[in-house]
Amino acid sequence: MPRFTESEVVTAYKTGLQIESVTEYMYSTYYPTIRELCRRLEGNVQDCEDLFQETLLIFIELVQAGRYNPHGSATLKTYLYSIARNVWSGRWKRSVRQQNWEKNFADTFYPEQDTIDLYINQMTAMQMLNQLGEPCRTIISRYYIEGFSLDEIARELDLNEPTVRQRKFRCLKKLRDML
Amino acid sequence: MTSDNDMNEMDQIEAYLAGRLAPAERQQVEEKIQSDSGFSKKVESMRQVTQLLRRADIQQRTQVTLQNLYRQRRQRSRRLTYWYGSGLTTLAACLAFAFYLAFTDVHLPVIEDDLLIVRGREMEERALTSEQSAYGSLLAGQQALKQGNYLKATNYLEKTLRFTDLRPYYREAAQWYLVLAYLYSDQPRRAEGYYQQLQTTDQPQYVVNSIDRWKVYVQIQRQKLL
Repeated sequence: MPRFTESEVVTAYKTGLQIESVTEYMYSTYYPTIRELCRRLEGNVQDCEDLFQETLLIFIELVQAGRYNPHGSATLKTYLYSIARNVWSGRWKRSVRQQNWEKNFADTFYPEQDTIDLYINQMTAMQMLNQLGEPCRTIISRYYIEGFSLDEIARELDLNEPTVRQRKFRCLKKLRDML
Repeated sequence: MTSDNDMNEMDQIEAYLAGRLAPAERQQVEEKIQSDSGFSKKVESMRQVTQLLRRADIQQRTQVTLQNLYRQRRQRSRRLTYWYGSGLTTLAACLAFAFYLAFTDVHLPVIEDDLLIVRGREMEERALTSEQSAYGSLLAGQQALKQGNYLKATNYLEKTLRFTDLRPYYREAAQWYLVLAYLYSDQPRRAEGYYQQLQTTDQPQYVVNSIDRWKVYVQIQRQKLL
């Protein structure tokens, strides 16, 4: 499996290139840390998987917003750890006891806290898209993300093309309102 | 109801943001952005939507990759559990079998009640109970073994084997009992000597089943080790 520098990880999550390889790298490199945290917080396997996934999705939001600096004081590991800890306590409202070993890198851990806090209670882009409900979610994902034509979507949803075009317009409006 | 004009305008903004407009049309849109604040807001909000969809795309691909990785890990873990489970079960079964062989009693077949213990038609004249006869000493050896008097047992059984014209069936039976007598009296090497003789016998007459043969072998080895 290829290795990536922190800058390469950031570039991949910004541009959308090599997402699969970078995600595999992130999983093999950082999942053990998050799982360790999750176990110390008495989470089960499912909790740990969900925690890592949510951490990564929030990390992507931060990268896309230019909030993460790969040359900053916090290493990627510390940063992800910090997000995970905040997801656990802030988003999931589950109890957290400070771990002894956290004190060792508290100096790099806390300066990033404010930035992370901003994003912890916001929905990720994917959650917003899911929030749209059906058939908006399907129409918007198929058209804008997967690159289907209106005709193909119309056939999938058993509708005619003008109707799909009109619905797409309304769904976009709904999404703009959510923003 | 959504008007066609609104939708056309949205399509135009989308095409503009995607860089799909011809230069002239692109210039028209840029001029409209400058002059029409309402239109400019629509472009900006559409730009935000485009960015959101781009993030959603990246996040969706990340999530799909992670779900695949989780599934692979679970499959690996299930396979490992299966192999560990099978390995442990097999090991436990082997240990139980080894324990059974090493510590349970050996059961030799009942000796046929035949007075013609020595070759030929010469009937043993002496009484069956007489310890002087081959049959008598074999029975006495067997009895002593049952009672746990192994020294006595080995004496009687050795004596039985001194009858040169002993029929093979009884010779082998006496040897097997002697193996047990030596084994139980903590003389594994002697037991092993008779055991090896019995193992090399062609077409044995006194047939001891395989499990009991294994038990004898394992118990001899166990005693040798200890």
